[in-house]
Amino acid sequence: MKQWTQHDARSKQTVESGQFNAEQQAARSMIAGLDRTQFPEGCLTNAQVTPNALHQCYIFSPWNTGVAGALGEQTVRRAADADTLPEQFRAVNYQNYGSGWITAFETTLQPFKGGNLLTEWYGNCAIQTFFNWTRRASWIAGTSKGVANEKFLGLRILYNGVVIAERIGPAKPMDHFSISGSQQVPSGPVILTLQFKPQAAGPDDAVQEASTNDFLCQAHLFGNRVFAIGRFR
Amino acid sequence: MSRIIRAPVDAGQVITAADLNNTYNDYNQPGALQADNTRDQAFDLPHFQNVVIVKNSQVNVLGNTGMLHTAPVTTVASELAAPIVVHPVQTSTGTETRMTFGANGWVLALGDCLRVWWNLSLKCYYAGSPWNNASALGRYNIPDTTPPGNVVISDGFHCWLAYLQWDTTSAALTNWVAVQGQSDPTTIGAYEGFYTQYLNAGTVISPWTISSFAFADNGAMPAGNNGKGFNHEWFAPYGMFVFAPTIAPVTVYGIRLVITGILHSGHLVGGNQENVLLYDYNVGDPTQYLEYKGGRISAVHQRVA
Repeated sequence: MKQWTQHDARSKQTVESGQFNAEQQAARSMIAGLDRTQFPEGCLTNAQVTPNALHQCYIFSPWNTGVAGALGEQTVRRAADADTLPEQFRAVNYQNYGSGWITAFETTLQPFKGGNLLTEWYGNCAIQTFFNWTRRASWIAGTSKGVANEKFLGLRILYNGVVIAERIGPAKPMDHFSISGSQQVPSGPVILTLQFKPQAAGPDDAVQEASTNDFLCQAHLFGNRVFAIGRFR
Repeated sequence: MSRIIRAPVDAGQVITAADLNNTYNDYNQPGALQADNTRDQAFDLPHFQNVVIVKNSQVNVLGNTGMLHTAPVTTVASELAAPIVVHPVQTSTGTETRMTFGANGWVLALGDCLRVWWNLSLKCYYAGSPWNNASALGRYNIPDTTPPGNVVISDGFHCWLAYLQWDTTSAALTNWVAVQGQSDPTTIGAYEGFYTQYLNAGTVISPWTISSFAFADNGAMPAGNNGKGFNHEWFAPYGMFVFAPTIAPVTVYGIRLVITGILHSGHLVGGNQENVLLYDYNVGDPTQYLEYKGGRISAVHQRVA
């Protein structure tokens, strides 16, 4: 068991620096090293430990992208107005996206005192599905082309860079989704990352409008809200 | 978190008891011990507030009871013109199925949060190919597989919208407005609709999927072929809303789910060029409607910390 004090210094007593340092080191251990069995009775009050003792909610609803007019939307792949059809979202298209996971939202949760962290992510999405079944990605006249061209939106949640929940995700043209996950996380700030993955262009996908050459909306996230709750031991 | 800023002591340096006591006091500042600097398992029950985490909770039925997709069901008509009148979720006989919190409501104090979840079993109906109507939103050109010429197809980005409203004025429940962060239908240029940045409690519901049906070829479609629509049949959309007052307490007397449509995506060409959902009256028709059976709405009123 760690020592509570090294010395009980009296008034007018002359002490050596070693005594001072020993006291300092012993006292430092009190800050982060004692567990509840070592606290003297009554040394903590409600006021000292509240309000973050049992649980802590983190609310990002809707998440703030820092971009005007884009609360709750992904803005990391959002085409320019000049490149987008007026009747489509400024969104992911096959000129600003090739493949892979895209980070839509990332933040640091703190204080996090160690324990269970649950994250709920709800939102809406647009997915271009017209080309999910084409001549080279289909079964035609008894001949299988053998090329899959599914159009869906992968979703996943990461804590400190580690995937803790993942799903294939929504697949309708205008769809909604939820993904939730929880994991035990050690104390300290937790980096929460939310990612999505549109599907890459298939063999027969149109990528732009034929008259204006505007790029076609392929995927977008909007109306997103995120709620996390840390439940400490 | 507090910091020790007193200078360290060098080996051999002579100091006084006061220095020692000052250092000890540095580590015993009132309020210095908190969640940031105290390890887990460091607390015992007497240290915690004697207040439960969950202050209120409630579950209500939405729409009609029953598990089968049979009568009674409720129907929502598509909008044909302004002004927009959203449809509160109700039974087939017109009784609203909403969540009410009594004469005193739920008082969301600073430090509280409200969490709401809902689901609803429904099916969207359409006749023909309304997305191909001449003025329907979302139509665009792709090349004809046999040049020259183009074929007009639809992007399929039509949707119904379900969102939450609340009454924070009185238990009379006559002042329903969209919840915080969510808007009711508003005028956007020549259209009515919603700014997507204010869809904090909105869930879009796809009425149909349009596919090239194996005809798209190298980014083109054959002349006279603009795809085939598929009905999603019965499925169960859902949504979530979370709210924590930041300025003053909010008293919520009731929450209800409303449905409206049919909308289509778009974005503002001017201004901040934000994305929007716009009512598309060109696909609205008595044959385009939404039918729902039932579902649940749940709410929890709890402490944030």
